[in-house]
Amino acid sequence: MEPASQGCLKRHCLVTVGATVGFEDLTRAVLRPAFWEHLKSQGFTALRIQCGPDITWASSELSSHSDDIPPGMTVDVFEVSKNLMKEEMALCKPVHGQRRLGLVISHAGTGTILDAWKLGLPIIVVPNTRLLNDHQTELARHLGNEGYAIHSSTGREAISKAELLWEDNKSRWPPNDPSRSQDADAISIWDIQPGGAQKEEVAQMTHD
Amino acid sequence: MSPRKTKAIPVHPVIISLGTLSIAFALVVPWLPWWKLLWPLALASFVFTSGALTFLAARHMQLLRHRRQHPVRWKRRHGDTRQVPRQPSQDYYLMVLGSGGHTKEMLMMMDDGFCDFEGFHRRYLVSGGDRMSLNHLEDYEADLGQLCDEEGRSAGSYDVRFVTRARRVHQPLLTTPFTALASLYDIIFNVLLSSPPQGEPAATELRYPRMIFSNGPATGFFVALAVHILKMIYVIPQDRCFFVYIESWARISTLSLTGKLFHHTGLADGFAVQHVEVASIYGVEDAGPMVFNSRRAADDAPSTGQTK
Repeated sequence: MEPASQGCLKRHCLVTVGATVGFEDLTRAVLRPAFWEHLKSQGFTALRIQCGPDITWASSELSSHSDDIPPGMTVDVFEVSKNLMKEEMALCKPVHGQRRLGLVISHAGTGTILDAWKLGLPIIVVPNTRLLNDHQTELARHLGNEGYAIHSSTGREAISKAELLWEDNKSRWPPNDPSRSQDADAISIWDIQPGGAQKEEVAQMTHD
Repeated sequence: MSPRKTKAIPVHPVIISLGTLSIAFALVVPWLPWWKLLWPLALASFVFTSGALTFLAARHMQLLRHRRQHPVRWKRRHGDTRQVPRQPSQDYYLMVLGSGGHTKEMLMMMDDGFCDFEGFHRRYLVSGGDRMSLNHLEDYEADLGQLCDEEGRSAGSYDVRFVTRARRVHQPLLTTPFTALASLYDIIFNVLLSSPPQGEPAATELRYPRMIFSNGPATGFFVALAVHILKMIYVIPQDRCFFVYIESWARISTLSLTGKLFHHTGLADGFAVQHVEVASIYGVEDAGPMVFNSRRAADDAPSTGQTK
């Protein structure tokens, strides 16, 4: 067991671009030594990058900069994860005495965003504008406006926003927490019922 | 109870006329050489087909009208109704699961802490080859089982039925009608008409799902279509298989293609979206962000466990 002093606490940053298409802009931005330095300065000890189909060039990019990885920190790239939430995001959750609250930087995929919400993780959402119809920008902007996540339009901006996040000491879930468990107005899927008096109508219609 | 504005097409006279025609045929046919049969045969086919089409069209309009007049009720909670047991809890729901994002959203809507599932059966419809949805739903059921154990309640039962994908990605359009039909066949026979497994309180009433939920995948539309057809020909009774479509939370300002199909065809008994903007554009029910009903990993407080 590590001693519970700040210096030995782990801290994970997860970058995820989605499984089906790559996201070159974001992947490149997080494969730069300058980014790693910033992470290190904020106490991060591990950076895991899920890069999808870009795994080949991302791996070689990483190897070419392997000397620039700050000591005490690990940087990995991988293609996909069978269960990103359980295997990777879970590592960003704080554990008293072992891990600090981490950070997720992600494409604007609904599933990923909702997973991060479920785990209570801060998330920076970067829409992949090269995708068809660009549905991601809309979602990312909405999240930013509602305060559910930080919206960032490019990989580079995501990095600087991450810094702002830490400077303002906002590395906790935004105040506009949309959890509705106490909401008196919420509709539960189990409460939805068919309308009207069904049984009498049926009787009338069949006996015609 | 609202008065019906038009009478339904009476079924019995149709059957009687068809019966009479068949008997007349049976009497006349042996006395005529085969080539003289062509005319009456053609006439009879025409009469039968137009009769059937008229019947189906009228039935279709009748169903649409009934659905419009009896929309699903969007009950809002007052206080924490999760703790109030439903009487009776016995029921049978069908949940249509699509690709990853849709499945996650659906399960999040379901995972709100409700655990009063005594005698309740959940059936999941999964497209062939969708391993991820299968994994997600099994995780959900495991978590639900655990929650119900903790609360001392029953989690009910569940099963999963697979249907052929209507169209695989990149599948040529030429073969699509065949896979679409195969999909429809699976939906009808493997999912809708196949009773929940033995050992469940599957009384006659529970033979068909009472409520069906979908949130975006195209499969959902096929299910609604299958239900509509089966209701048209009186296979599924009017008080079963209420189809509720809840548009994906990710649709901030527009309806998805499936959503538009539902909106324009009127095949859903209940139709709602999760954002007020979409609701006002289309004039539909705003159910609010139902995905956020979900229990969270750290449900007591947002994660402030950092030690800065």
